[in-house]
Amino acid sequence: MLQPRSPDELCALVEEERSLLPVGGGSKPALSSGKADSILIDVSQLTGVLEYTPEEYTITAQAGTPVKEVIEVLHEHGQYLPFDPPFAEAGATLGGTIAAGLSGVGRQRFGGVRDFILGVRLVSGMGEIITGGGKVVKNAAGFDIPKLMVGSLGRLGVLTEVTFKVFPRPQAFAMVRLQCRDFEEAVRTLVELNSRPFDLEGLELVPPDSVLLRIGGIREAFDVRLRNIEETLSIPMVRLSESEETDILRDLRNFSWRPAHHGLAKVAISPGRIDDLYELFQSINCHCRFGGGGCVAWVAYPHVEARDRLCDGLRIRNLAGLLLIGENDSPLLGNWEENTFLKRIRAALDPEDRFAAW
Amino acid sequence: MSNEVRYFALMPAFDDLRALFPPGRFLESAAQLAPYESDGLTVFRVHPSAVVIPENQDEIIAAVKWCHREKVPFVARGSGTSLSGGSLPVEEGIVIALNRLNRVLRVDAAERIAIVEPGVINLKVSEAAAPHGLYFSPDPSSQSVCTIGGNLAFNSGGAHCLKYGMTSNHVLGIKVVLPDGELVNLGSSSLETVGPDLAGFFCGNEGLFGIALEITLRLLPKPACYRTVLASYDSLEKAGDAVSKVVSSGLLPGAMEIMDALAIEAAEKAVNAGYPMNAVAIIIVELDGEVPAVDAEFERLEAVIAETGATEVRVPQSEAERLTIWKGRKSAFSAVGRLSPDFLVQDGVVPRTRLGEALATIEQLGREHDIRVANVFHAGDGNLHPLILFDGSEEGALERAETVAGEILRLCIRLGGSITGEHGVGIEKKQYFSEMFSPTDVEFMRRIRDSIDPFQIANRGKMIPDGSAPALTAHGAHPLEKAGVISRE
Repeated sequence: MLQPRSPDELCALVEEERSLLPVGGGSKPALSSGKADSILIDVSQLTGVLEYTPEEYTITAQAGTPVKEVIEVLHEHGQYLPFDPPFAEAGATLGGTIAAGLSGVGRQRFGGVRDFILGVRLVSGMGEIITGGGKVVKNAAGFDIPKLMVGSLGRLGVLTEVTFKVFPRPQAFAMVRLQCRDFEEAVRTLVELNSRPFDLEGLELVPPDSVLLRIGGIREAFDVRLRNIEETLSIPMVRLSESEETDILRDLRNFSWRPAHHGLAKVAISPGRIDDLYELFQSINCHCRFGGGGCVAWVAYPHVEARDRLCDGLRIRNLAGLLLIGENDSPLLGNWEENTFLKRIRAALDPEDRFAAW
Repeated sequence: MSNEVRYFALMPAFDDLRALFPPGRFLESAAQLAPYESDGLTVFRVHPSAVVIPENQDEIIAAVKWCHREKVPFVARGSGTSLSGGSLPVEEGIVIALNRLNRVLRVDAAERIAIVEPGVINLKVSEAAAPHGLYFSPDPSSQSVCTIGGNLAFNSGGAHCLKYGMTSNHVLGIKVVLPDGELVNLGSSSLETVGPDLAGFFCGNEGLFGIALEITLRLLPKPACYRTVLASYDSLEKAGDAVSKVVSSGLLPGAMEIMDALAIEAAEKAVNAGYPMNAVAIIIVELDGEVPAVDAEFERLEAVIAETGATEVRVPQSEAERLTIWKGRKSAFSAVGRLSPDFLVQDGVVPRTRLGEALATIEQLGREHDIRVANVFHAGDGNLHPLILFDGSEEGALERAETVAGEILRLCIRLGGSITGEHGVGIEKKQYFSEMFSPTDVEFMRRIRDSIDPFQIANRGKMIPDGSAPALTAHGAHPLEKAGVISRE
């Protein structure tokens, strides 16, 4: 595996090699293993926080910096990454989180990784170092290269530096479980909570019949806020202890609910698709969670046949998925294709196919 | 004004374009074209060869395909409120006016989305969503007239961007006609993405990637309540420090604004907002969210403000009072405009911790060039809006104003910020684009543009520097601005 020690070394590699695939912490093996002919570039040496002034609400770090490290630095100053990048404990890096386009439980409150990325530096397929976006919280100058990198899977360039918007971390959090009668009621509850002015820091459906919700802010207001939610919904609410909350969050962020030897995929959905998808997942013996208020399904499948049926099921439903753990020719599942717009972009960024194919 | 048809429109190829539209929707006489020759940046004027007014997607696509075939540049235009000259026509090109595609096609409360046509007015989206307790967050000050298509193309902002993001953060899916007439669907109705975030990348393209035909927007639940405070200071610096204290307190206001004395005076004359007239600067801070949370946070905010040396602190006691404060703020720019026959406005961004330094330098620049500068800005995100006043009839005044404006942009770059927070680069800031980005970065963006639009027919000459720019002339305020409908911020 190639291991550049600086962006300049990385540029030199890109100019020499082909079928390159950048790898961060390897926490999403389906995205970092590549194919037989792939040449892996380990960017873990490009690490460290470069600029952080808490009052600016921004942080700039090298792309190989572990998410965990950034979370700790921010925590010391009472701030956080509200989109809650997953796989932090498994060693996920900032660059890998952007390239995979992953957001966690916290995306419910202010949005996902696309809503917090402000600036990037990357090495293009031409071996140039490109700066896109900026380092301030508001910027409309130039094409939005940072957003293009979200979900780009290392196929458009290798990230070397990233800037995120960060927010003050709520003083306290609380989590409750809503015990619904059945799956249908759980889905209805999710939809209802989505359109109400409750400022939720997390809204997850744990099949078959639980809805988890998390709030944050000034602790003294929690009792009244939770009572308001309970009265609106008339569904029994169980307030979870701090240690229960910690366990549940760890479980969700690291996908430890995934049974051993199961593959894992993310599917971009909207709440209206949940019923139908749940049926599909059950019919092929998959485990699943619906996160972000029902905008994402996380699905764990038991074997290759289930994976293929999952792909077929997604294709029929005009949905796209991303493989995170498991094997497949491409990590892009279901109804995803490189459209004309993306083809033209890739022709400009990587005209000589230095990077691995989709 | 003559009715003669301009030279280019007499080319035989234009007959094919003319045939696509009934006479009332194909404009070619000088009198018909006049309203389209300029936009919110009135210092530039260019006559287009023709204006077409499609009423549906097929007509847009047909016009784009014609442009591609004939290599005639086109500029898509909504309400023409761009402050960077983004919808300024291209010489020898046509304007595709999108105002008639103004339907909100669907509001889905369960999915929290609205699907709209590009000519829909920004505020109409929130109006359509209101019965469901939802709203569309981006709120540029021109939101009562500007269109979603323009907001998307220029990634418009507003007063709530720090907490809620810009237009691109609220666009989920886009059906696009590329500059060669090909159709693509970018994104979806999901808040999540798989593969590169192409809808996000399309936003802010300044019309260079084609035209958005149908747009899926993310809606948010309208906050349960707002609590606002207005504090006065005897110096701009103290107001800036107060903002820093609020930011460091761990609170996350939905909006945080600063106005200086000139802006206060003008706003007060215009709408009687009840602003303190002896203040050198005021800040407006607003919290939003659930009632019990905001009540608790507001107590903390008041405690923070109490430590900032404010000469006066006002808390509106009713919704009507709160809205009056905002009315003053939102009309401040057009009001300041009344103090001067002409003005330029910039929207550069500086890191928030450098605000004090930036304001001091702006003041000094004004003094050096004998130009008055008023300041109203989104302090929460460091987005300046210096309003540079001048009289175009006075020889050399426009050039002096331009110099000050340019120096302010350079200052923003030097302090590590951006040349534009929400207006876009357009034609106006093109020359500063290559000061903010390196030659490699500019070349990279040019390569992307050329790959998507090899003949450069989509909004040619905008954003990416190419050496050409129409001459500057002073034309006074935009008619809508004079009427107090829009303002430059």
